[in-house]
Amino acid sequence: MEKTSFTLNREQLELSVDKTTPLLWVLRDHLGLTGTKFGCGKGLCGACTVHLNGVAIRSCSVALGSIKDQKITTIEGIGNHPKFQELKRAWIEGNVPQCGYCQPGQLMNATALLTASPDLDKEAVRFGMSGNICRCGTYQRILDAIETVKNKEGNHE
Amino acid sequence: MSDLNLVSRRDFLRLTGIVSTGLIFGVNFIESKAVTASNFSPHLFLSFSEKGPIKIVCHRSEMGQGTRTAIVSLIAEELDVDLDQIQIVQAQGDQKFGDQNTDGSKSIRANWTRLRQVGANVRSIFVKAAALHFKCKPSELKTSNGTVFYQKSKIEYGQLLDLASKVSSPANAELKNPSDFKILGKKQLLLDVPDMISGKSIYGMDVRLEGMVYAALKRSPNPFGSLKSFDSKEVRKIPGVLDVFSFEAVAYSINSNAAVCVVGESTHVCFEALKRVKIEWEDAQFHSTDSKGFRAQLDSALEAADQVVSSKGSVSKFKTKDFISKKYFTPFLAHSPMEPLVATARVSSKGCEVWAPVQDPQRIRKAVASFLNIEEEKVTINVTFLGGGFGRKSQPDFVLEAVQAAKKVQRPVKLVWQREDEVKHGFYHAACAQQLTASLIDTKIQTWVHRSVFPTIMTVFNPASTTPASWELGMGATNNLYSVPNKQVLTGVVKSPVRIGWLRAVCNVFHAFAINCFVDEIAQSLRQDPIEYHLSLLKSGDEVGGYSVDRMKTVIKKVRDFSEWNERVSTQKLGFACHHSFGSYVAAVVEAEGTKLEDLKIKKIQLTIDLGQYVNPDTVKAQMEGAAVFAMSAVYYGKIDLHEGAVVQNNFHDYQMVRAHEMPQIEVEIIDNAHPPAGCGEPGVPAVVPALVNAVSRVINKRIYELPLMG
Repeated sequence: MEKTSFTLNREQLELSVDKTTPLLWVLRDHLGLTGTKFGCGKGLCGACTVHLNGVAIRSCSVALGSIKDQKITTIEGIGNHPKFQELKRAWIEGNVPQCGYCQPGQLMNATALLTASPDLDKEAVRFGMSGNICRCGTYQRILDAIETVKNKEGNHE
Repeated sequence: MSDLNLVSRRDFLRLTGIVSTGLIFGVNFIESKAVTASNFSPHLFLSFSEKGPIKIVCHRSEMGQGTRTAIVSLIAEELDVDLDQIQIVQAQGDQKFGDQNTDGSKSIRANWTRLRQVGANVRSIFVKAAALHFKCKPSELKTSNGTVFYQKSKIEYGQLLDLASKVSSPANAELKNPSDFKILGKKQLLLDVPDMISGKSIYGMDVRLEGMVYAALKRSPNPFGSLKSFDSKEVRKIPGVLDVFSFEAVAYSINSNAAVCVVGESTHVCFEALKRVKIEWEDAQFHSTDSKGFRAQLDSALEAADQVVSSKGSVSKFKTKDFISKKYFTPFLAHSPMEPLVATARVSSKGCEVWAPVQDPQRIRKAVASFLNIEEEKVTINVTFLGGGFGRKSQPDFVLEAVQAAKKVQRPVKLVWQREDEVKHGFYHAACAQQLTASLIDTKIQTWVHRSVFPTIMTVFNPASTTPASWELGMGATNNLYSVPNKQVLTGVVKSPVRIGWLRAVCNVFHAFAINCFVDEIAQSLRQDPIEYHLSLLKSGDEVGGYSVDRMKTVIKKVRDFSEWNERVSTQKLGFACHHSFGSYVAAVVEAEGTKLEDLKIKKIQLTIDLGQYVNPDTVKAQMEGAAVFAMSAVYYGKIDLHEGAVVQNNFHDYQMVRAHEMPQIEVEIIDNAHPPAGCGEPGVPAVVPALVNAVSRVINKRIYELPLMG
């Protein structure tokens, strides 16, 4: 089988896995990185959000072949990202998660969103987070946590 | 194992240490089941070691209600240790832990005294041990944060283990006075959050075992159908497919569907292969049922509903012209937890081991033992984190499927449901038709007749059941709190075309919807304030089925005042509703904005809850917030339709959830009192649903009798 090379969490990787396999299942079943969650398989819920060159994508809807030579970051590899660290703190202090299953995806999405556009207004954040479903209904705490991080930014300036 | 897996393993090894926390934790999770290293275990729920955290067992399932932190808080409070000293150990399914069925919002109610007592008894062991150590009387000692203090000396629990193992435990050590609580009733950070948000917590979906293969099913579209034939020749040739076979439906109380199972080397291989299996299904009794036809059946059942389930006074006495009668309809709903159903099983001659996100591990254990015809002691149920449950993960069907597959292939199997499977093969919240009729003299309701018909949950246990059970009607209908001299509740016969199950707050949701919308309409027609009118129906001093009318009134007044209802009601589109369930009382005020459904916006939801004493006020608030969003999804979008006996909806595009951009502001007030603890996870939903509907009816200037709004 032809190999696919890409960078995963800053590590160069070569995989002999069917290129049509969605990245989600490459991560979960072939690499054992289960922090990226399966929710819908159709790019509708955001539980499987990872970063492709720093941009949030739904890994269930991206085939392995299409990320050749690209940079992928998952929840397991985002720990040192300064924006993620701030968000993580806000998530913990805000008791944000309930069941927690969607939260890695929520945080990956929020990290990409605030990194790309740190000055988004409240309404834009609401729409920026609307691709990630939380059935437990933790949205208010998610949005509040993001605002906390944004406001801290403002104070630094 | 195939090359494919060998290669990815090699690749994986190159990654360890950098990105592999998921798997490493996964292995630990599995391994940890065998680890019992502790120096001193004075009780089933507790073990201590000289160094390292105190291990406290949580025997209830964590599905987002915060139960793991709450359960260990009960013990930690009386043991006098801080939460940061604790490591939570998730219990396997076993009768020895007491009831583990995580359902009915009862984890705290059932364990408030029991587990505090465990903590207090074990604390007294350490006090006795310290008395031996300091050669003093126990009464001269104090404890705080896992340390015993004597005059100017102190010693940690962990240093007293030898002495502690030699002293006896009292049966009933004195419990703390609530005014001395350091943990209970105070905001705490949830212990599981750091791992959850780092992707380290292991949900059912994340279980990985050595030598494990994957499986997925194509189930009979009609829940009661069977398999006629299937052709797997082509599918067996697909690389990575290991086996293809069929399952027969397993009857109640398992209630699994007939299915074709593909076992393969990855989840994706199984999903893809299933698309290419050719299957012919055998029709079943409901094969021609569609939503319209079922609605007609429900409507005629409502017309015919003549079984009186509760009665007071004489409703036939009043032949007044001054009466109002309205009908209400609510559809089937699916649970749709974010984690689709999944279970991993290993079956060998020694027995069976399961790893799964289950709400009721003891029921699952019994079901597996009975299915495999082995002793319960040979079945081990490991409870993972649940990525949401809402009642769906109380059912044993998905675990039994994994056990069937593992038995067949004699390897550990993880059986994964696709989202479409979850939507199409649920145990649905019952569709319900209701009629409320009231006769009035002036503004006073003199007679109240409530007809409610719906397919009963009892079909899970006895498929021949056709009439709602009294406990189902006791969720809001027969335990209605209004002081009306003549009252009757009636029901009738309905056959269910689908499997029915518990969904968050169960029958309370549709009963509270009809009752609150009905009373709101009466108040509106009388030009009365809805809240004042509600209060006028509630007579101080009344008690109904253990519920206190005065506590309900207090909650209503609290939400009226904190929402500033009186100041806002003339200029804003507000809706009010209240309901009592799972021992708790909730009242809600909703503010809506707009002129029609197309520009409808829910601006604010304000809730007051009286749940007696509680563990963590922030968790109570979180559950109310979550209930409000759950209610919004049901009111806006929630609907499962049938066509030719099969469910029409598929995934989140046609079974929609409320999303972040639709969020209102949610505010929660908790009543503080000394009543025993009551339910928290469920009681919010029934109050918010009708409050939303009442607010929306002011937006569209039309009463609403059916849900969902956007359907």
